[in-house]
Amino acid sequence: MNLSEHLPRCSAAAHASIDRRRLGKLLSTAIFALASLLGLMAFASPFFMPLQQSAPAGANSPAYLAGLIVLCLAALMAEAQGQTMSAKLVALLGMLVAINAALRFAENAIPGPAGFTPVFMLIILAGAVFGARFGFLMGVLTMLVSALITGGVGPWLPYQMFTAGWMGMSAVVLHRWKGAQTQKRLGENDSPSASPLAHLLPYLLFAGAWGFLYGAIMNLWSWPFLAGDPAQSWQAGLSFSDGIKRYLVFYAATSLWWDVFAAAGNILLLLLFGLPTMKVLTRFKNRFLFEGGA
Amino acid sequence: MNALVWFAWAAGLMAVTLATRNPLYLLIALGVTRVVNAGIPHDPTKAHLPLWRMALFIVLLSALFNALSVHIGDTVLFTIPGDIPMFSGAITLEGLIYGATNGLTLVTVLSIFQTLNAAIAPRDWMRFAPRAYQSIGMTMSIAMGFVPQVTRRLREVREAQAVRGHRVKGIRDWLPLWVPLLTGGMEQSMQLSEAMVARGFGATQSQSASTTRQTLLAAGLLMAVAGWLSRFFAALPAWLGWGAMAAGGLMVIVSLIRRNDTSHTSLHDQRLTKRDWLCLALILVGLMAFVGPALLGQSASLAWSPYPALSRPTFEVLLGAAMLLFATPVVTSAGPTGDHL
Repeated sequence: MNLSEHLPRCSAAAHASIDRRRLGKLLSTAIFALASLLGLMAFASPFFMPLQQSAPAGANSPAYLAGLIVLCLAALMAEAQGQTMSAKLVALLGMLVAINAALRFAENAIPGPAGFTPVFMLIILAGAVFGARFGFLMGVLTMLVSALITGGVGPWLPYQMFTAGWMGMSAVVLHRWKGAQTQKRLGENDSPSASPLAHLLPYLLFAGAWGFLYGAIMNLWSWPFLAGDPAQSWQAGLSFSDGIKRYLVFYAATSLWWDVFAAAGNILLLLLFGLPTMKVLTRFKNRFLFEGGA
Repeated sequence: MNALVWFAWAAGLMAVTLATRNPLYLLIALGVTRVVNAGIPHDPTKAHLPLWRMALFIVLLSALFNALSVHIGDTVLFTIPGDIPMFSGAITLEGLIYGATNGLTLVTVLSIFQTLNAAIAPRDWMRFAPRAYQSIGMTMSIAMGFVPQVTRRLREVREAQAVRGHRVKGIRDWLPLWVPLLTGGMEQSMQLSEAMVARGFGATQSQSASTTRQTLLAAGLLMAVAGWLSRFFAALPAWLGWGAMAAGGLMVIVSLIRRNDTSHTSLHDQRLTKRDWLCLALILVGLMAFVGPALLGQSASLAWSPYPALSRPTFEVLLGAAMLLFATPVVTSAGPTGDHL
């Protein structure tokens, strides 16, 4: 075969490889979006049930909804893992999960005030530095491993894993924001560098918001099964807006003060440890040079 | 005892606990879990929840919250005057008892899982991880193996900083401990990954799943979402939505099973012994004897409610006896080990 025949073939093979990679990325995004949407629908089903057609017996039971959550979680974990994870990724993720699980173990031994927990900081920063897949796995595995070592396995675990996974996955917006800021700074060479607080502000807002969101999402799975004041309990046949109103009253009465400490704790930890932790993670990301992007 | 038996025990007792609101049966279920828990050799390195303190807190809080927020029932203890939202109204004995029963259910569920956590070693939890998640399983093994090292490293860092005069007085003082701990962990992960590659564990590059598997997974999820959404449209037959959801779920499961191309080996014996089989059979008998009548609607004593007027819960000896069969893990685990079947 001469060179002129060989070159077009190489070019065609390279194009096919790029197309396959693009298709894979597209499918991966679709899987993440669809599994997250289905999971969100399962979590939010107490608000939607009355709007839907009558379901077969047991179709809205806790077991059915838990099954749906587990299925979505399994799909997301499989996609985040891919066919194989590189040894570097496995070792790095394993070590960060070990550190976070040890923090949760310490938190169990010496509980912080109300909903304060030290584990969310590393989940958020891992997602922000290493990307959505890594952040998702970091959230999911932190909850799983720490539950195994602290004896916290229970029906709540898949919900905790899912919610913490979402937290880590959504931290990719900080990754993108940071990238955009870096580009902007490169374009404005003479501008003074931003203060540490200004740099951290989006992270603080994000962590504070997740302090409340984590509690609000986690409450959803048990809310329909708790008896209590009719003004804040779930009832069959409620309209969507009534369901939301009752849930907000329930959340304000039972969980808001708890989550205030969770949000304040996240903000405080990021203020004190956020920048040094990010520096360490970024330095090692560059050393590892793995494909940890979203 | 084999971990499978423990899973069956926990699932059976959960079904029994959630099938009734009768406090007498709930108390028997709780008693059974405590007896079984007491018979398990506990791992001193595992954290243990202070269950009785927590139980008291949960039952009291649940009773109080229900009594303050639900003003139904004939036996009025006192009345909160005024227009305080949620709280104003009659505080009834029935509300108090119903809340306490809810709390008792929660405590029993907690106790079941506390016993399960104490009975099953982490390596057995790992054994049940599906093979499709080989990389995640390996990550978990590393994480669980390194947790004790992390705590040891933290102690070392703390001692080293103390020698330099550093004292931890507030949360801010944790920074000189946190950064070396994190950096040391990352350095160790780098060495570990190199050692893994040198020994042939894991790949040097991550690989995406095959396009076929991804397509099947995405199509399954899309079908499930479409099925769920179709239930909002009354014009469409209900079976269509449920059928699409079931088919989508099946496609997702198939795509996950198709990833199963690795094999597991274990150094530990995983076969069920005669004693394990006996225990499984007794748990099944107990479950059927308790849940069977409930499914057939032949057991009125399960569905007890204190509203509107408090009444004494009824008790059926057969159901009580069926619950005692869940204590068999303690009885069968005593004595010499049985032969394998």
